[in-house]
Amino acid sequence: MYIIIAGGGVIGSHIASLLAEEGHEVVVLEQSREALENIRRQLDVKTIQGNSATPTILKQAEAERADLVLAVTNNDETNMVTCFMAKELGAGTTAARIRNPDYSGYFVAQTKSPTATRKIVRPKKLGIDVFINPEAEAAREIMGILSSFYSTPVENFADGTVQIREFRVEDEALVDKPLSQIEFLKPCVVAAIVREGEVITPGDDDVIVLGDSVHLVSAREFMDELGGMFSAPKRPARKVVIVGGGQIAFLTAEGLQRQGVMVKVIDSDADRCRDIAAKLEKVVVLQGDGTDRSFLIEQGVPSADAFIATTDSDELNILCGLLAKNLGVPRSLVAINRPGYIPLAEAIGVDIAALPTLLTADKITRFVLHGGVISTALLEGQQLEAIEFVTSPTSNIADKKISEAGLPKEAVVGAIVRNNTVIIPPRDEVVQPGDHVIVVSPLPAVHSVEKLFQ
Amino acid sequence: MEFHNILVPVAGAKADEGAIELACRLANRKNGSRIFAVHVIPVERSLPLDTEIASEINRAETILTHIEEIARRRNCLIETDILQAREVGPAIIDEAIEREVDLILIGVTYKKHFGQFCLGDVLPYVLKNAPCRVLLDHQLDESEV
Repeated sequence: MYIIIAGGGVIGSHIASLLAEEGHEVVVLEQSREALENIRRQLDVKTIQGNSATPTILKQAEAERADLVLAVTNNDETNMVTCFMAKELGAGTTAARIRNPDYSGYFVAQTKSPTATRKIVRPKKLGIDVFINPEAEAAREIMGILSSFYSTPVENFADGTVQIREFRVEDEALVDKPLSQIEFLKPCVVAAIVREGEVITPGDDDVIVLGDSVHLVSAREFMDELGGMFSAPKRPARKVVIVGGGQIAFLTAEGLQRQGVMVKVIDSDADRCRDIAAKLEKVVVLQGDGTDRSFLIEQGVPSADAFIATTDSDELNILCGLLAKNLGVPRSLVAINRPGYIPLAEAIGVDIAALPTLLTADKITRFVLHGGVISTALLEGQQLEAIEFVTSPTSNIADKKISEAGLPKEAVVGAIVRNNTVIIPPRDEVVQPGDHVIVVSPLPAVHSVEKLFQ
Repeated sequence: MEFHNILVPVAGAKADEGAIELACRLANRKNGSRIFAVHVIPVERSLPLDTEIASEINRAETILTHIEEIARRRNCLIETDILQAREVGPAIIDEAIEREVDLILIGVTYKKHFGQFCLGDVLPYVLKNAPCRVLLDHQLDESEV
């Protein structure tokens, strides 16, 4: 695909690297010479300096032949105009990062006559096919984690019948045994083992080491039971403390308040505190320093079920997360924008790092879909991609056994869904037309996998 | 027979899919024919006409997205709109006049009310007041077979 990315900041450059790695032709438009120079040094992508919202720059980037235009600058209005202009010039799909929810809403157009038919003005009419709100995505993910028994996000496939979930190995009974000798309580496939940040494609003789993480593929109804084999389940959070009064904090607090969860928001800015307190009636808002240990103890943080750090500073979030962990909070979640900080956050024991950057990239990969693909998800800091294919009668893999289909050795077929029946493990199955096949593969091998389904 | 501007009112019924497919066949793409799909949200008189009913808007968006997908599969360009009115029939006629359409195409099934064949309220109004041709595309309801 030919993809134009407007904005070369953290999100733009991250998505560019991801898409370039998948073999797409990528152009990055950015006003800052310095940011462009950084991208040029690190990535094999074309760059153009200038305002992406102007037709001149978009023409220079050949917007008319773009399959996808992603507008992810820091400015909502620039993103909107970029998408609108690109669409007018003939671009295919457009997606924009829009933080202000007012822009992605609907409104009824006024008419001169009070009885005349009203037209509903839709965001789609602005030329934007997909609205991406990284903060809303992050809040949604945090809420999903807090309502489940395990501190890891879950990915759903085949209408939710198949799930992929990462579990950290904490039970010594599983350690140092070859995978083939582990008796799993329910049918499942270990799609990947992650050891010290390195992804291992598991074979029958591979062993699990304490502290490893495994990506497990199984039917939805078995996932909780399987999770219990790896680590102790935690109770869904009923009392939550959020540090930071930004958009992620607000949206998370709003969502948790609706679910009846007791929420405390801590922010050092008085105006922001007043603003949140005025909007969220049932949320307790406190002005204070999230890194002040005695203040946190005074406010009852040690008795909370979960602690979320969502300030604008990644470093501060990690520090707050560590402090909460030290105070005995069972779940400590931090929002991080720089993917490079993930290993650091994990090393200090912060359970989950919700990354708006990665979530945005994940959302984008979901619609940079190729032939036969109906759903995708990025796993393990985007080293792996889980893809759901629908097998067409003419595809190369149709009517072949999975073990003989010629899949790259790094790719693992996690499940087949045939007529609503989940087949796990699918190792010796013959793939039939119409089957939904869920494959987990490292990014560089995704192309080879796709070819089999074309 | 060729049509330049075709209006297809959709309500989320199975018959809408057939109507859109027929509209795609009838539209002359070479001459720049246009297809407009509209969904009308009826607003009760107890509510102001400007009320934004989120659930209805979401439903309308889902219906129109599905319709766009059908048109896209047939390589047809389609414009979609959500309207809000007290009555569905007059809203369709207003839209037909405003868009200067030369065909209103509606997918219908054989409906019965108290055991009697019934066209409902909207179709008779459209048939009586339409400023252009009206084509009713009857499709067999599988439950009738």
